[in-house]
Amino acid sequence: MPSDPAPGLAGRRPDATPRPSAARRPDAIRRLAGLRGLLAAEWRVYRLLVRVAFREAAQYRMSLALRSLTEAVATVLDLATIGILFAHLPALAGFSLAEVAFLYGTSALAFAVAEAFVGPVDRLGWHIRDGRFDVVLIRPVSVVVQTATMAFAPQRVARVAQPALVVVISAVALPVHWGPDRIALAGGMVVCGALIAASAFVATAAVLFVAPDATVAVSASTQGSALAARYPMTVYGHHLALLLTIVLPIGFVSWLPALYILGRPDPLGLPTFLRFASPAVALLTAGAAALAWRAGVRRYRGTGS
Amino acid sequence: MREQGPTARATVGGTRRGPVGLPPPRLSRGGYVTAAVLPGARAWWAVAAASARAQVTYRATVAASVLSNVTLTVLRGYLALAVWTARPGLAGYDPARAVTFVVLGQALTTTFAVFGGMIDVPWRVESGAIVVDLARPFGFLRWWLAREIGRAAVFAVSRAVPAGLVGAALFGVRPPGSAGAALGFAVSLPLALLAGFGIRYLVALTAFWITDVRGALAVSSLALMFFSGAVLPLTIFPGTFGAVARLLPFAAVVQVPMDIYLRPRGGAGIGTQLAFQAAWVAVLLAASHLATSRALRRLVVQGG
Repeated sequence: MPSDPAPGLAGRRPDATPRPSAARRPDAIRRLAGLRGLLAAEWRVYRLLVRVAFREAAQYRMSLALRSLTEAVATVLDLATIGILFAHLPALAGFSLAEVAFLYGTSALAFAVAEAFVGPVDRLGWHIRDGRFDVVLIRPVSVVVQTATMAFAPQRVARVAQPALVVVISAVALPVHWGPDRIALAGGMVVCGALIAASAFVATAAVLFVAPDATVAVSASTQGSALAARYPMTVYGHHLALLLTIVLPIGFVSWLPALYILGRPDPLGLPTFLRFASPAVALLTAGAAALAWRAGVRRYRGTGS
Repeated sequence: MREQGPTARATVGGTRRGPVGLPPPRLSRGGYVTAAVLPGARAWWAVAAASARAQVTYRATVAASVLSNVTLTVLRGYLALAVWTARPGLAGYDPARAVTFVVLGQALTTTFAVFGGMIDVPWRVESGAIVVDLARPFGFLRWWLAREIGRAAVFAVSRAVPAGLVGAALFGVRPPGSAGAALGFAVSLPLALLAGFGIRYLVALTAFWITDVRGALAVSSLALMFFSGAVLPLTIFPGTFGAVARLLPFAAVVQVPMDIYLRPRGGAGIGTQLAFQAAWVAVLLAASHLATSRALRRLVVQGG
């Protein structure tokens, strides 16, 4: 069971060096070790719990392979949507098929990575409703790491395959010169995009502390963000595009950096430096998500079940 | 480990017999519905009302859902506007009809839970709480259908109407093509509810055969969204792919009601559309009935 870290922790101790005891140290020492040490410790526990989930799934290899294949094939429907649109249109809001495919691929890849690694946080509502959450609070591992791994689904990783392929194909099809600047920016935008998407997942899942029944609404809003990031922002009209870029950081997932890669002027007239601001925005959203999550944990009340 | 054979068989028997003293309902749609619905109307009302009350208990949930529905309506509306401004007349819709399709289509999507799930069978099988459902003096399939009706009513009022109003204010919504179209649309809504329920119920029942249904749920919700017309109208799907997509049961949930409402040029008649829906509803409910008796017969409850 991925929900119980104990067997995994015991099993991995000899060769790996996860030290969950680091989180158990008294407060003063923890503060001395600093935020970096704490994050490193949580990251180790996270990797350990994910590895446990993979090993558990690997007990039934055939089942895991089939489930992964189904997930990968199902994501093709998103691509089919773009294919159907371009069967009728030469360009969408002035963007060619290769350009829209690049926007779709990079944003879908970022969202798929985020979904694979923190997606299960939206099961928080179920944990609260079924009374499984009290136990989470007394374990010496951060709540977000536990929630992200309690219902970890290894087959979700397969969702990364299709967008990754689309990125490669569209990058080849784009009429641009792939110098080191573009390659570095493309890599950076996927990493930062995944961090922004993961922050969005965690921040919206924090709503579940207040409304444990809102799982559907939470997944709908993450789907909405993925949908918004997929097409050129100009599709949504000037005001909504500005809202999605400046207020909600969705434009930083792929739209703004992609404008540089595609060698296009900004149709919204935003300053050029914003195209390289994704790392800073990713850190800001991660901070905001952490605050939202903490506020949620503080407001948690048991359901009595 | 303990066989729940007797309990399961008893409930299956109960489902077959139907309410007290009535002849066994036939599997055809009319027979099943009249035999099951009319005598137990009060019980149906009670179950549906209880389900509806459970849905409105958390107000923050309703608020979050309204927000996400408005967002999706607005995003899809702008996308449709961009596509149909570039290609007016595509699939027989002008831009005004296309945004009407999106705004009302999103309302149907949320009312009929096209995003999948919303039938708690898998989690109740996982936790063992399903035993309680078997002990109820109300058929298993009927219980979940009654709950679905209660849920759909709440979703229609609390999600579909607010998001629809925002969409209408922003994009403008066309009235139905004619009085006949309005009437046909009204008739097609309950059929769409039954079709959407049938598909999701069959997916939920797979929990009796496979241990982890999350994969099946994820795939089915993607297929439902895509092939129901909730993402794009099925009428713009090209060639054979489109022809096949329009024959699948998913089309009965969003595409067919919207076709009846908008009556695009070159579309089928209202009678044909309703017959298409009714045929799939009959097949899905018959399959649900059969799958229910199979599932309950093979149920094994672990522990206790």
